[in-house]
Amino acid sequence: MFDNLGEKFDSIISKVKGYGTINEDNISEMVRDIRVALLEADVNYKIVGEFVNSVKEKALGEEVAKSLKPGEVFASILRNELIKILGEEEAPLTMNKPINITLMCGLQGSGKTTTVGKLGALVRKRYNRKPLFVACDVYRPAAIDQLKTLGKSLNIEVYEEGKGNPVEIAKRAVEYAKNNGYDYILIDTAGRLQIDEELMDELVNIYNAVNPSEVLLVLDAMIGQDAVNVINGFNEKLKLTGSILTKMDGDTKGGVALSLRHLTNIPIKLIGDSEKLDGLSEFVPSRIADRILGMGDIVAIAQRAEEVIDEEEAKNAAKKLKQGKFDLEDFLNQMRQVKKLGPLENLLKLLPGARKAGLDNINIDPKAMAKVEAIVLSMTPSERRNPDIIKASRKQRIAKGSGSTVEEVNRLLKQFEEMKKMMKQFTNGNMKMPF
Amino acid sequence: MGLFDRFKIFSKKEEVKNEEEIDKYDKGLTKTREDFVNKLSILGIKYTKIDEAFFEELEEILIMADLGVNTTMSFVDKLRKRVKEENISDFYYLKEVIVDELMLIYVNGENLSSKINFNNEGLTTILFVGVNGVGKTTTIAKLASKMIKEGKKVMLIGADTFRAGAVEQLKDWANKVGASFYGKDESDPSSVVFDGLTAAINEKYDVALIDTAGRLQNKVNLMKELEKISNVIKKVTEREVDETLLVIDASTGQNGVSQAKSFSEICSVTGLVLTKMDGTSKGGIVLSIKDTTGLPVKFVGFGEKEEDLMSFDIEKYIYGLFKEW
Repeated sequence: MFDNLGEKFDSIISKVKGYGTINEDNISEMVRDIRVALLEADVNYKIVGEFVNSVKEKALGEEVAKSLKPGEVFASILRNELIKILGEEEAPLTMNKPINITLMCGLQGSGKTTTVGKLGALVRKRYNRKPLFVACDVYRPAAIDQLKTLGKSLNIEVYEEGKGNPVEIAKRAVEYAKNNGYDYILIDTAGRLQIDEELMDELVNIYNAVNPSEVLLVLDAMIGQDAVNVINGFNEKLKLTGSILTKMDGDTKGGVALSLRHLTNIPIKLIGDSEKLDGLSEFVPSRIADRILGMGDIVAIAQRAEEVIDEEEAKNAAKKLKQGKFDLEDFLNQMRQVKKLGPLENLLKLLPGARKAGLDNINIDPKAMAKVEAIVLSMTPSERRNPDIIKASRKQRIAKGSGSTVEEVNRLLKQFEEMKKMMKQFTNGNMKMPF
Repeated sequence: MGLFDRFKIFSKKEEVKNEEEIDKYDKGLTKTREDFVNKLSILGIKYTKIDEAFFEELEEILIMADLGVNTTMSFVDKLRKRVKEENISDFYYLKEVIVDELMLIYVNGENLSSKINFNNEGLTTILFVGVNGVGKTTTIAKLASKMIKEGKKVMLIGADTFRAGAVEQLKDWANKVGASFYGKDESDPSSVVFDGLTAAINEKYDVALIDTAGRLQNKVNLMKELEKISNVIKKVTEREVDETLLVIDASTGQNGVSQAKSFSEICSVTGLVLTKMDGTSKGGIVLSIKDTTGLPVKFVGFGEKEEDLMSFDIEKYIYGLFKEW
């Protein structure tokens, strides 16, 4: 996300560093570059104008002229202006009702049903809520099936009545939730155009029937300059409390993310950033600005780790490492924990300076990790605990069992030894972390 | 003869069907026209002479229509040049120049056809690709129904084994439009395609429409999977894939260009299907993609009904856009 935009900003900032000073002459070139970069990213035309003028004014101000490091001051001006258009404050989900009712709406194909699934998992995990899904998309073939499949894999119940009247279904679902102890109701609705009066009226009727505490517009992050019309169209009929941007893990330059808040005053509450069912993150303006400017998002990594990594396991492994008792069994456990963090590429991108270090374009083949796992699994428990006993004939057996070659088994064993050595040094404090 | 004069003769002479088609374009483009032409009309009133301020505002209007910065800049530069060289001062004439030049971005001296490339000696394979949620499955259903009405024997192959309920969705559609269906949930998409195509060849089907999972173009592993599917089709049919159609949502911004480039690299896209055109007031992405990648639009979707999916015709498109200007 924001990849190209970030690259453009990088090169503009390094230009400023090269100039050493900012004046009327060289600012116009930079302003033009920023303008083109933002327009190419589908940022709304009006916002581009305001942004560029504001940056120009501040860059020509005294602070930069006096500074010994104009590049850094310029970068911080960009950061502040970005945060400003992103909406400054984070907008959390509404959680103040004993039973929260969330109505999801949006255009066709924006990702509503998938997002319903993700949001259900999120409120259960983070807010300790008991969610119920309600299937009110009675138009798209198999939409109910899709929600049911999601519900099944998440172990969340789905309230559905097949192809009935969505207003009545929603009403009865709320009753059902009250009687069965659910406290977070998520209503999935059919995709519709904001100009389709009949379907918009239906949505208003659902709204009036259930009086939701939260109305979220699900919006595809790749949408172009039409975004503003879509948002206003929905907001005129329903009082939107926020929006969720989906498909942010694509190479979208995310212009809509930069335009939405400022133009419509509707906060972005969450972003969808992976195809996995836990791929929904909070939208925090300052952190998004940092990502755009290549400053990374350590908070996101930490949060992710906290959610999926088993603390006991981790402590255990650390203890074993210190005592030099770390074996292949622990290695396997660690690897499985890391796998839970999701695609490693996504994590690397969140490291500060990832773009400059070329870490943003790395592709890690999940099959390579599966292979390592297969090799370790083909060893006997005693081999895993004591890799030293693995000699030629054992290696052959392991290779055969895991569908790999003896060389691959050798490589893994060697890597494991090296890793152990390195870890020992870390924990003894003889070496600094490599970054 | 300008485009508009051509249309006046055209609609008198041609059969009713053509008029109906023009009508569809007309209706489907209402939103775009209202937005775009309104702004252009104001431009004509606001400026008494064609100067730099005029060009800058024209530039803004085009960018707002999702035409893209680069395409817009080169277009406006060309216009500046023509205005200077031909000494154009009459707005009415400039209007015609703008319309003609916009069409030239698309046509670019090529002889473009939006016709499907059918295999006359056996099974025609059409592979549908695109990012998530653009309307691939629905497009396949509409196209299948059209082909069945033309008397073709059509099979739908559901290779979207990723999204929950996707195979079901296509199966429902197949039943509705009267096509055969092949697909399995939770299996490898390439093997589904292999089995489906083998059946289609053995049972002498005319057309196989292959649905794939939506994928973002920067997901390398998913794109590799697509490459594999494309190779499997070639292997089974012992010929190139007859059509690989990239489905794009008309409200997509400049990411559409990136989609067209990335998917083309992986599975040689032969054309585009532009969906949900009736819902957007923009749609400049047609010109932007053609300008940067050379890919033609084969179909355009103006609504939810089956007959709303139409062969793309740039003349009708431009006419629908500008007829009130």
